Amino acid sequence: MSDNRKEMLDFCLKCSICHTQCPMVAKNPSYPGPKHLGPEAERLRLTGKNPSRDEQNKYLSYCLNCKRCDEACPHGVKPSVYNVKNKTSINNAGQESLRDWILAHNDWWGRIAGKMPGVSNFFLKNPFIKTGMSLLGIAPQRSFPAYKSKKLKIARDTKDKKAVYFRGCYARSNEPDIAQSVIKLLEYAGYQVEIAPLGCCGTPVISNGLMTEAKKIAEKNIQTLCQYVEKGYKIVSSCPSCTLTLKEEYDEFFDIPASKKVSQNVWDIFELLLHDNVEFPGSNKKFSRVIYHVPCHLKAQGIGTPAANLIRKYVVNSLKVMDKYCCGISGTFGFKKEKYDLSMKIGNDLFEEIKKEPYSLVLTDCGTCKLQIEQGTGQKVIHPAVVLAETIEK
Amino acid sequence: MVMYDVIVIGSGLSGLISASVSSKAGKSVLVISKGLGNIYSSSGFIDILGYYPPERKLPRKNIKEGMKELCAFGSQHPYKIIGQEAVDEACDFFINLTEIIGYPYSGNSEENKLLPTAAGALAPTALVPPTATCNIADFEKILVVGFEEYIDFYPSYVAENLKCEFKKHNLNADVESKTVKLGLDTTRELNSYDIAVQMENSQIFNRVVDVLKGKVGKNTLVAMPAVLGVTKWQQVYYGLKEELNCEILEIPTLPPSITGMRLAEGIKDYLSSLEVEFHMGYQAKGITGDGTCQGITVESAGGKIKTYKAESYVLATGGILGGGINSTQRTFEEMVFGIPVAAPDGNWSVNDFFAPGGQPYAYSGIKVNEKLNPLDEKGNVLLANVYCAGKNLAGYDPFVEKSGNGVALTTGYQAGVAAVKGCDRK
Repeated sequence: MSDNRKEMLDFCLKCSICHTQCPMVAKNPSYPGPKHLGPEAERLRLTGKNPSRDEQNKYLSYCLNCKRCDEACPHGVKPSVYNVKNKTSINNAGQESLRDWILAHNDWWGRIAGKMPGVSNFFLKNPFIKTGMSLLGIAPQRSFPAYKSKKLKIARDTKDKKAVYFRGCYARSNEPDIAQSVIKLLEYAGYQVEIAPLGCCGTPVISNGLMTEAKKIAEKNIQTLCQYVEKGYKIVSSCPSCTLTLKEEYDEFFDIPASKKVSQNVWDIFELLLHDNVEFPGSNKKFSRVIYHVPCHLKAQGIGTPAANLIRKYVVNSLKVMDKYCCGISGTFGFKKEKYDLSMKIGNDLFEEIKKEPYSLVLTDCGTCKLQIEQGTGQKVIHPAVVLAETIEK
Repeated sequence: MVMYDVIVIGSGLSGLISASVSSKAGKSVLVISKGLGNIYSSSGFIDILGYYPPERKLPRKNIKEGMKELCAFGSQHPYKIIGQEAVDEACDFFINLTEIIGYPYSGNSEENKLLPTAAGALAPTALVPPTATCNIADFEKILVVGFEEYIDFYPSYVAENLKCEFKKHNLNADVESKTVKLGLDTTRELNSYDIAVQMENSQIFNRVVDVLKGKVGKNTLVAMPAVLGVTKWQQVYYGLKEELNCEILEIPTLPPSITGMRLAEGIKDYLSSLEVEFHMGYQAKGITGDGTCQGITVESAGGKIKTYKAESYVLATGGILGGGINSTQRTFEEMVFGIPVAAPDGNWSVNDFFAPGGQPYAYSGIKVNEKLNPLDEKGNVLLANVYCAGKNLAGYDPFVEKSGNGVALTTGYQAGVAAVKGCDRK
């Protein structure tokens, strides 16, 4: 642990504000909460003689890493960081760790399945496959995202402004329309676009405590992205978790000298469009009554809600911004059999909010938030980049 | 870059009030704050002026008389700077705001009410949440109820102290206590928030009803720690009142304070509905030039710096506890603009922790003019489009006066009004 994190422990006044913001605490009374599991337990861990360590560690896999505790702390302590770091010490039973390993490598499965989407989608809905997954500890009730492949159209002309697009797993293997929309937006904003020749950002690997492997992913991504930064490219992502990981997590968890150079140049697509003051032709707004769920990992970036700014300006007449609730899926968490019910229970406040009014459009940036909201409400959820890109003339 | 009319720095009570005033006036507002404000640790009750002069033994009944004395003597007190009229307006604004958010406060800026604290003292307060509207002098019997699983509230201790307090204030009532077992899993320590969440569960709620039903009458006041529901407080509080057929009083607890939390989240939801934006989790720094604030920079994830601009800026970052002012043993530092902070002339502290006159350091803070613009040592305006509110202001000791939330509310209101005027002048 960096000295900075050790020092920050002393800033925890035990006011428990973080505790009141934890979505897990609210729905799972036995969960110790961010203050206790984070800074309090960390102090004990540092003494090296914490008698209840195993007892506490069993709860680490319940931390959603939504970072609402980090944002809430008035004194700059980040409880989630201790939780993520300490996840490596969870001693899982063999089957659970196999299941976690499988879920953490959604990137691989996406690459394979994306090559033959028809066959993969058929199998993912097959009851025998579902039973097999259930035996492995994957929630059989969970709807898997369909796989889709699409050849992306990218303009070939050379421009001064250059952007490299880090697609992430979801926009690559499941919803390439998002990727195409982001490319369209970037080109409209005057960028020469290139797709980063990279796979996973490492979020699912980190959240399953596989830190050694995550470090390797981080090193590879940083090395490649650094070359782009040196050539004057901006790194753009449309997935809030990828963006947060590239911006902050590499630097937080792995001692890689070049990570700062990369993190300073990573942009959320809407953050960049807003920063560049890009004007869109959305004079006749198509939608009214639209709700936008702010993903936790977007909220944690401390950039406000740039998508909401632009959507409000060019696409919709009235937009309800919901940043109050975590959707509960937390990446791979909601796919786990023993955690599925809890995941839906946490999401329920958001589902109720969305079901309360007949919204014509439900928006969110995050692929897994989308899956969860669709599962919990039956409503189709769309990435804001898709609706903004539609305002541009073909 | 997005331009705002008003940027509020800080999301405690004063910041949220400034944001409400600005937003209600039709201004676009951004709230920047390092974390959630101290409102989650405060009672959420609005104490305007409980004791003045601070050395006073008994609380002031009439707030306005205290205010008159304060304006005659307290040279730098924020109330004196903004004036009685602004205090009254701010209270009206607040009563109206809490009505809109569905957590309606009652009370006024004239008269103090006496309500029990979690230590059983009778404390003066002015504006109270809907779960504390009763008048304790109206009851023949008071039953203090605590919960076995909630270790931050001791009903018998509260009751014994209340008896002494009643004598001191010439009040009459039969005070008793009772502990109810909720049947919760206590493998870990439960705090007020945990209990409040559990109270929304009908099974747990019914346990409380079963124990108390028929044992309390119409003339009994049931006083409980303020854990009667978080978002579903209406269901829990009014449900319990109906089931037990008696008056119920919520006593604010040790942090996290559910009464403060309900207020904060109610206002924030309201602000979100008015399209107010929030930027949370990072420290803000001001850019200054030509005697004005030219923008605010905030760090974001990965260390990238964001710059935001507005016509007017409200500085509501709190004092030493809130993080608006950093103190070492010899110096004070205002964290956003580096505005000079007036330190006490003599000793910063006195040995008696509970000294009746308070601690000298508490009076330290930013000196301001009547528009709440920050001033330099010579009394010149430092930043003409910045308005200060809340505990970063100099000249008062909220702890001994019992004026913390009152100053936060009224100066937050006044800073909001000034910020709106500042936009309109341009």
